[in-house]
Amino acid sequence: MEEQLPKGEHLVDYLEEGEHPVSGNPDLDSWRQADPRNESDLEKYQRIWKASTGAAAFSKFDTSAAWAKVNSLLADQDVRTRRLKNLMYVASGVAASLFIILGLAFYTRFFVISDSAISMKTTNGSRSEVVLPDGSVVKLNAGSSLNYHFDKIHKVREVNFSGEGFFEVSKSTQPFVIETAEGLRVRVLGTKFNLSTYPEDRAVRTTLVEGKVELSMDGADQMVLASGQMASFDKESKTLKYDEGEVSHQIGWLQNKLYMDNMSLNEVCSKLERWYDVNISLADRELGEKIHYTGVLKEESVADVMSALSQLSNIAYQIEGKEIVLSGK
Amino acid sequence: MQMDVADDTLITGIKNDDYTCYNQLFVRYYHRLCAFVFTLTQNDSASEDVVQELFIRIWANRQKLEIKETVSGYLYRASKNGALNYLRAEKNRQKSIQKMPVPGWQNDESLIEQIEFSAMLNQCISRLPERSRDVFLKSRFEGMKLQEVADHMGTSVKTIKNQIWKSLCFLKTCLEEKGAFGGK
Repeated sequence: MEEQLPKGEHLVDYLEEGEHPVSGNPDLDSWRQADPRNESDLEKYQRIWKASTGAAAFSKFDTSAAWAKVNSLLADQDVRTRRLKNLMYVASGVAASLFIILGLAFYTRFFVISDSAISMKTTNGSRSEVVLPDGSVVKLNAGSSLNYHFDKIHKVREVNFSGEGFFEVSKSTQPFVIETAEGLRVRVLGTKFNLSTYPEDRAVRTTLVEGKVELSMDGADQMVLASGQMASFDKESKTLKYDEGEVSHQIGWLQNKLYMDNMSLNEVCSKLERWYDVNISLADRELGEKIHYTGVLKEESVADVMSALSQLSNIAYQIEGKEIVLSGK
Repeated sequence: MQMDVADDTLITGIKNDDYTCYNQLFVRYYHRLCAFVFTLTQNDSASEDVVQELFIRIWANRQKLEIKETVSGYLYRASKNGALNYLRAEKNRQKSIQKMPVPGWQNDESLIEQIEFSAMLNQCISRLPERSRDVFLKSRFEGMKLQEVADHMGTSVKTIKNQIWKSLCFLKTCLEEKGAFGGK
């Protein structure tokens, strides 16, 4: 609106001087008098200014650490109540012989193993972060699901995964192995990487940010990624290959950014459908592969994204609730 | 990006054993409730304990969960009760200290309003471009003088002021979109 520099500079001075400003800044004063709205804006700036020192107090409470604690407490509780139920079952039985109790103890130990399992799911339009019992942190993109369990016999952290996730695997001598629906295995010890394996996508993409990962598949060659490298696994030909590209683009979603490196409209749409939980249909099917985008999108709402895309290319859009129809102009 | 699921939806999910919803609710409210409880207990770790216990209870009793008010109203009220219980227990423990002040709670609403505002402000600050955020945090959180910030960033005070001003404009718009200023 009226964001010329002189006023801004004076305003910062004014706020910095605090409650008792050395009055008599003619520029600022005339701005304040010019419009009653300016005065109310000034109040807003003051409120932000004051609250911003207090906002720092928030950072002393660590949500991730707290969640890890609550998560493990709940896991313990589950095990305990289940144990109790089992015990009661025996007590109400006919012969609570020592053998049965021993047998039960053995049985509950198995339960404990399966109970260190954890499942998380994100629907379209939502994202989530999960701290696994081993301390690893996984950020889940929209439409993803994860099942974790610790195999105590083989000492392996096992994960079944579909969707897209950014994994920060805690360092341990116990391997962390992810298996996708196609049978691709990603094996790591402690690293940061992004894995994208949506059922509707043609390829499974792995992008390594830090550390080392090993990709393998029954009947295919094994492959090792070093930090900064990425690989894709083609679901049809069942082949693994190194990919070229920018690491930061692959993990742009963590900052709500969509990087498009010559990305087809079809691909853009399938991402947007998941991100915003909408259905996008094309009036003309050929459009999807005809139009390609290069650039980065960072928008608040799906309407903003659509308006940006229509400016970048010759498409028109119509939004009705969760249904979006794209057509050529 | 509008990714926020309504609080009510999360509660419905929690009732249906959806751990993801539970996690989301936790991440959404943990900071705010801790900041709120802290005003009563004046103790960081006690505040965290109170809020964590509240969340554990929510999951443990999820089938019986009945929220008749707004979800945030419920959470603030429940955490206040937790804080008062903590203070009571603490008072019993230290019987010798006769007068344990229990701070007045007439101002719950304005306090919650402040905390909610700070929470929204924090979200908006995190959306600032990296460099602007850096400058803003240095000047506001770390309490550096503008001259110090300028020296630190190797630029002039004028540039710093300009950057802070731009951040303020951004924050104001961002907060307005969130309805942070209320009816004022």
